[in-house]
Amino acid sequence: MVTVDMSFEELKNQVDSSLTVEKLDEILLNLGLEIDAIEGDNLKVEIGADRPDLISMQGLVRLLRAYLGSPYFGFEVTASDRVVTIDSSVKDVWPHMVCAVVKGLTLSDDRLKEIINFQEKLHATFGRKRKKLGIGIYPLEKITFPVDYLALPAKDVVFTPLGCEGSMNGHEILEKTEIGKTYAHLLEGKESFPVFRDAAGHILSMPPIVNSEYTGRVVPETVDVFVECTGRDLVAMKHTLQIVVAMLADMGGKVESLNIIEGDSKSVSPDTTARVKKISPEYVNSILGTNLSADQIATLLQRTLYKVIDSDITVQIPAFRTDVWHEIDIVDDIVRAYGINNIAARISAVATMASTFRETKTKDLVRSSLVSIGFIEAFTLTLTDSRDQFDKMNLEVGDHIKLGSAEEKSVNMCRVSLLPELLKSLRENRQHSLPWKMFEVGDVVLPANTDVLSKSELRLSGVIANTEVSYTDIKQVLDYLAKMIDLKVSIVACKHPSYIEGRVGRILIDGMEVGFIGEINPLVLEKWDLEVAVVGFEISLQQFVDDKTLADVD
Amino acid sequence: MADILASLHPLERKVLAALRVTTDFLELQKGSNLSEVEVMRALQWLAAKGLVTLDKKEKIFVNLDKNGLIYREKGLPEIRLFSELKTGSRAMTEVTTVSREEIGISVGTLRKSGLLSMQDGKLVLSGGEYSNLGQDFLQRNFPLELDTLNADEKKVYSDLKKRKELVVESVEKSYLIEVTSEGHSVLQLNLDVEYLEGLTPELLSSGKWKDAKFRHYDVTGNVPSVTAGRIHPLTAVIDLIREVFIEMGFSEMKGPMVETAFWCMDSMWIPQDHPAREEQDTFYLPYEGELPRGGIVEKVARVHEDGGDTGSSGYGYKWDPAVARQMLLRTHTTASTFRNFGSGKVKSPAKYFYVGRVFRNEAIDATHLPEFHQVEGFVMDDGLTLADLMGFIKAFYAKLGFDKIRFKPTYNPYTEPSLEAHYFDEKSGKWLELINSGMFRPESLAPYGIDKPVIAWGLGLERLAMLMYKQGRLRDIFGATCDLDWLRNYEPPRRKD
Repeated sequence: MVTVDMSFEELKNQVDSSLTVEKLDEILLNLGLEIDAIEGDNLKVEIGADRPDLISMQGLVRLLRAYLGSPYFGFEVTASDRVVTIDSSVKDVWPHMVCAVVKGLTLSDDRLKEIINFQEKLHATFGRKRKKLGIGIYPLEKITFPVDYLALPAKDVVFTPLGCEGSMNGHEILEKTEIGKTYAHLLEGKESFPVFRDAAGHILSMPPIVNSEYTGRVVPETVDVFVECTGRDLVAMKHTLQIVVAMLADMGGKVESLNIIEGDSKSVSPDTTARVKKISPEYVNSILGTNLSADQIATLLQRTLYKVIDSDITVQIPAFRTDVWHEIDIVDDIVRAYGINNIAARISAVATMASTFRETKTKDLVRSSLVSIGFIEAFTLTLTDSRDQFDKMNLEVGDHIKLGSAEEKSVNMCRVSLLPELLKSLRENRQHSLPWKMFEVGDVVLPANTDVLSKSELRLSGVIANTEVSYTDIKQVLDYLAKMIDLKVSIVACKHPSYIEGRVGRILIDGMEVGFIGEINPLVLEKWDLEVAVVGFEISLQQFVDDKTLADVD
Repeated sequence: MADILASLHPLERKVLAALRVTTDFLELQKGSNLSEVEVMRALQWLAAKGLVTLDKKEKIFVNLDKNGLIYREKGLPEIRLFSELKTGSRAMTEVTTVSREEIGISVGTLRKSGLLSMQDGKLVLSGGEYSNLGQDFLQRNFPLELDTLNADEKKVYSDLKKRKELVVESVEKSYLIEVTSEGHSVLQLNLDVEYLEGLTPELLSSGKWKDAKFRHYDVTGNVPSVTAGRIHPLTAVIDLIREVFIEMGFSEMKGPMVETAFWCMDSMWIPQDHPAREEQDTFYLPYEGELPRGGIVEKVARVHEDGGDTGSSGYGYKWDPAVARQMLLRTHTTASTFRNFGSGKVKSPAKYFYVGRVFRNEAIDATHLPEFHQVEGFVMDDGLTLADLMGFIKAFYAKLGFDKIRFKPTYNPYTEPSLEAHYFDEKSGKWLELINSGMFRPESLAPYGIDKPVIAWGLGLERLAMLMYKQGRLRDIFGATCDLDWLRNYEPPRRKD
C-alpha cells in the first residue's frame, strides 16, 4: 500500500469541479482504491502495490477523468536524432537502460515536489527499493549529446553528487553521502560503477545512486528534461519509463524519443510498440456471470484507460500498466468500471459430499471425553523456545526444526512436545483456584525424511495440578480416554528425566510405544515456578488417525 | 404459617426457640447451644424471611497504647521539656527530662505552638503556657467510647492519634435483634416438629420417609457456580466454521506448516521478487527442501518466465529453483491448497476447506502474534463465475451472522479478479474487512492441469474470534497466556442464522 497526498481542490479542478468527497469515495471503492484520510483540503488516497501508475495525483486524475467519461488517448512520441550508447562494460554491473526526452514543461515548486515524491515512491515500491531499477531526471539544457552509458573504475567516477559540495569519487560517494550509504549494497563487490557521461565529458549521474549537482538538478524553471531508467529488469524498466513519461505528458510535456546504440544493435526509446489484446464478450461474461454486450464492454474499458481499436473489442493496453499479463487482468478492469456491487451474487449448485478427516473426528472425541471429566482445553503456539521444550523439562536438547532469525525473541523452534506448553499454561495461571486440569490435542513438528524435512504428528497431553494429586489420578484419565477412543493401552515401568523416578511409565498402544505418563519431577516444577504437584501424560495419536489421502476422502 | 415452619432450617428453629427467652446475641448463643457463626447465619436467614430484624451496631473504644501508658505516668515529653526550659534555656544536648528519641517531637510540637525558638544553638521559651489538654486526656479512664467525646476532646484525640503508639482503637460489634410480629406468631407454633433434611438410604429402606416431612427449600435462591471442563474458545470458533462449511458441502483438506517457498509462493505464481517474500514478513528456516517431481517445477518455471501456454506474458524474468527450495513456515493456507492441487487428486467438482496455522515473522504485542490461523475455502467446477464467488461469500457470511455485505476489488498476485468482502459493523457504523477472495489466475492453475474455474476465499480465524468474544488482544485468545478463568467461564459463540 502506498499513500498519495494531494490537494482535493486541485484534484477537483483537474477532474470535475462538482466532485464531492462522498462521490469520490464511491468511485474509488469501485476502482478498488480508498480514501485513507481527508483533513481540510489535504486528501490521502491509498493505492495498491499493483498500480504504480496511480501513485501520483496526475495518475489518479487520468484514471478519474476516463472513469467519468473523457477517454484517454495517450500521448504522441516524436522522433529525435539524439543518441545514447550503452557500453558493454555495464553488463555485469547494472545492465539495462531506457530513456526519453520530455519538452515544454511548465514546472512549479508544487509540481517539482510531486515529481520527486512520485519518483521516490516508484523506487521504493515497484523498484523494490532500487534493487530492480533506478530512475533519473535531468535538465536537458545541461546535457551535450551523444551520451554514453558505461561503467568506469570507481576511483575514476568523479563528480559532485546532488546536494553536496565538492567532487568525490565513486567509493567516497558510497561511504560519505547519506544516499550513497543507503544504497551502497546495490554496487557491493563491483570494481567499476555505472555512469552516464555526456559528449562534453561531464558525468551526469551514477545510477541507481545519485545524480550530479551540475547536470542533474531539476529546478522549477526547467522546461525540457531527459529521463532515464536503468536496472536489471528490462520489462519493469520499460513500464516505469512509461509511467514517468505519461505523468510528464499529462503535465503538458511533449515526448521525444532517442536512439539507443548497444554494440551492433540499434533501437528507439521509449518503446512505442503497442500491447494489443482482443476481448470476447463470451469470455468476459463467463468469468463474471454477467450478460454484458460488446458495446458495454468497450465503454467500460475506455473508462479504465484502455484504447478500444475496433468493434471486436481489440484493445490497446496502456503502456504504463504493469499489471496486465493476461486477458483476465482486462476482465478485472471491466469489473472495476462496471462496479462489483452491480453484479448480482448467485450460487451455482456444485454437487459434492462433505467429509472430515478421521483425525478431526478423533480430536473431537478426545475433546468431548476430557471435557466431560472436567478438563479445560489449552490451545498453545507451535512456536516455542528450546529452553522450554528441553531445559525446563530436564531433557537434553533433541532434534527439532529451528527458526532462522525471529523478530520475537521468545521463540526459536517448532514444538516437539505439548507437555511443556501445558506447564507454561499452568504457570501463566498460577493465581487461579485449584485444581487445574488441562489438556491439549494438536500437532508437533518433528524432523523427518520428507520434502520439507519434517512431519506433523498429532499429540495429546493432559495434566492435573493439585495440592494432593497422584499417579492414580492421571492413570484413571488415560484409562477412561482409551476406552472412549477405543485404544488398547498398557503401561510398562521406565525412567524419564521429566518425571519422578518410580512413578513414570511408558505408554504402549497395541504394543507400540506412544508416550509417557507419571508424576512430574519436582526439578521440572521448580524450573516452571510451580509450587504444586502435577501429574501428566503425553501420547502420539498419529498412527491411529492417519488419514486416507485427500482424494480418497471425497 | 405452617409453610414458613416447614422451610426453616434446623439452625433457624434452634435460634427461634432461644428467641422466646432473649434477644441478646450472646444469650442466644448460650440458649441455642450454637456457635457465633451458626447463630449469625440463622439470624440472617430469619431476617430474610421477615421473622426478625437485625441491626448491626459498631462501637469504637479508645485505649492507651504502649507510649500512652508511659506518658500517663511520666507526662508527655513536650510538657516535660517545657517545664525544664522554664528553669532556663539550654542546648539540646543539655536537656535531661526528655530522652533522645523524644527530643525531636517535643521540640517540634513546642515550636509549632510558637512557644519555642532556637537562639545561638539554645532552646529558648518565648513566653506563654503550653496547653495541658493532651495530658488531661491521657489521665482519663479507659476504655473510652469514641462517640462520647465532645468536639474539643475529639480534636485533642485526633492529634494524639497521629503520634506513635499513643492510643489504639478497638471495635466492638453488637447486634440489635427484634422479633417481628410475624416472627412472634411463629414463636407461638410448635418448633420441635421433625423435618427431614436429606433422603437417606436408611429412610428409604425402612419406609420411615412415609411419615416424615421434608424441610422446604428456597428454590429461588442463588447457588454457587460450577466449574466444568470446556473446549478452548478458539476450538469453539473452529467448530462453528467447520459446521458452516460442512453444511455447504465442503470437505476438509490440510497440509504441512513447514513448507518450501515453492509451495508457499512459486506454485501459485507469486513472483520471486515479491515484497511479501522478504525476511521481515516470512519465517525462513535454515534448511533447503525438495521440489516436486513429475514436471510441475518446469511448468511453474515457464508460467513465471513467459506465461507458458496460458496466453499470459509471464513476468519475463529467469525463474530460480534455489529461491523455491528455501524452507519456511507457511505464511498462508493457500500453500496447502496448491500442494493439494499438485497431488493431482483434487477432481472437479470439488469443494474444500481448511483451518490451519500460519506464521509471520513478527514480535508479540497486543495485536500481533507470530502465529495465527487462516480459514480458507475453495470451489472448483465448470461454469463458476465471480457472481458465484460473491454468492458463496454472502451465504458464508450470513451463516456467521453478517447480513450487510459489500465487495471491493483488490489485488492478490494469484487471483484475478480479487475481492475484499466487507461487513457493516452497526456499532462503529463502519464497513470492516474480514474476507479476502478471488478466482485463481490461469497462470496459477495451469501447471496442475486445472482448466476449470476455481473460486476461493479466506479469513483470519483470530479476527473472527476476537469479534465473537469481544476480546481485544490476540494473546488473550491464543497461546499459553489465555486466562484460565476465561477458559472456564467464556460464553460460547452462537450461530445467529
